[in-house]
Amino acid sequence: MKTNKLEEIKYFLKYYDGPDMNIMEVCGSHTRAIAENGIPGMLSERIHLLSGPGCPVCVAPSSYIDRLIELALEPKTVVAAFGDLIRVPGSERSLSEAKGEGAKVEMLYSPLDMLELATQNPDRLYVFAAVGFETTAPVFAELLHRAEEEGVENIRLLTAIKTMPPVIQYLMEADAPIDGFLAPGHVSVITGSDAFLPLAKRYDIPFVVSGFSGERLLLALYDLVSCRGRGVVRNDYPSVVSAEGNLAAKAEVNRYFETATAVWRGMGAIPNSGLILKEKYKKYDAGSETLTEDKRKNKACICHEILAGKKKPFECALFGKICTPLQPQGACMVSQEGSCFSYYSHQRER
Amino acid sequence: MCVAYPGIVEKIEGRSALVNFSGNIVRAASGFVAPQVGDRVLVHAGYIMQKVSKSEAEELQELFDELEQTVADKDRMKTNGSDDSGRRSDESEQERTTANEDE
Repeated sequence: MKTNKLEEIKYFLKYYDGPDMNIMEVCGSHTRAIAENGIPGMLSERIHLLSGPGCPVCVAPSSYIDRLIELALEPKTVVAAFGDLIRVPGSERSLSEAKGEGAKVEMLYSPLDMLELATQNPDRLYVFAAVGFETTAPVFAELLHRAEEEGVENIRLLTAIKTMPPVIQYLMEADAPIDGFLAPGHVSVITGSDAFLPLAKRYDIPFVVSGFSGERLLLALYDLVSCRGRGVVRNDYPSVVSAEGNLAAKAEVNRYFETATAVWRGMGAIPNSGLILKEKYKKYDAGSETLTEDKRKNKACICHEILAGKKKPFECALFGKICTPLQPQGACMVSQEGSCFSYYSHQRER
Repeated sequence: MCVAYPGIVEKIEGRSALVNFSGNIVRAASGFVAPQVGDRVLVHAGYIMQKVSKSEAEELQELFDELEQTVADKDRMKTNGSDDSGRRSDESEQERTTANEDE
């Protein structure tokens, strides 16, 4: 039964001849999975996939990277970061390039690993590059909880934590031509699928929460096209996503963080789209709030338009020529979940 | 960056759990979900985000079955104009729809 239905879905998506349907994914893992599963080639020419601002590393402004480099070059300060962030260019260079000048940078799988480092090296200050969406915010809260409990004083966060619904609203208010959103699967684990309901209603567009396998993506795209023009939220990932999300994780995040205006690379300041430390916990902040400047390393880079769904990577003059994963000119080509990296690696042409 | 992987909880140690990913054992913070040994869980950046309530295969089968039912009911509604079929179609659709506008 599943095989037959899947074949029907594939046929529907391939030969769909209704009104054009622009679908945006706002999750870097979806961007990657769409390319890896060859989904674009399975769709009718009337179904258009757009990659939105779903890669948190890609949307961190250049001043954020510059500040991390400054910190890593300070005596007795170590910057710890997720691997994706190390090669993201700031206004002039990346953390990786700064390492050659003596910057102290540790690549960690989990922020919690920094506690052990900080405990073992009490004469050093450890700063975690706290980049992420709602998915990752709980682990930063857990880090602070444990640091408080264990009395670890030599840790800080440089925050660039973003939240998804406000940036979706920003895109819709900017008249982005979007008819439906593939809602981010792992963000939704924490937020719950209902987080997208006000947006669905306000703009009369469907949101479908999806997992990451090819079958799941096809099902979600089928649901999105089927719901064109309707303000609905569907949850196609119910094994881990509920309507209300992970309440305990959300409560812990709310204990340490509050919403604030955040700067997105290439898109500017978006109200209520970020999380910063509450006043009570500012002692853990490494100077996050002043980081609003955003300079492009290469003026011809159009990462900002790509992140907003206005252009596709292959429409950039730099793409595949002087901008490659080995020599990225913009953040979208750095992260494995960046749109340009994904299009380049999988030779996507649509 | 929001990548998360499913694994099986092998042991609970205070606010952490040891999670088995195909033989690799990783420590993950467990305070947000209170898992039991043997639970299948989703782990991101060193913490357990959620328990996984069913396998990928089971869930996909259910999603496709529901879709099959929804489409069948809609077809029947088109053919018969039956009120009953229409109601069943809405109910079937509602299972996968966490929320929708007032229709």
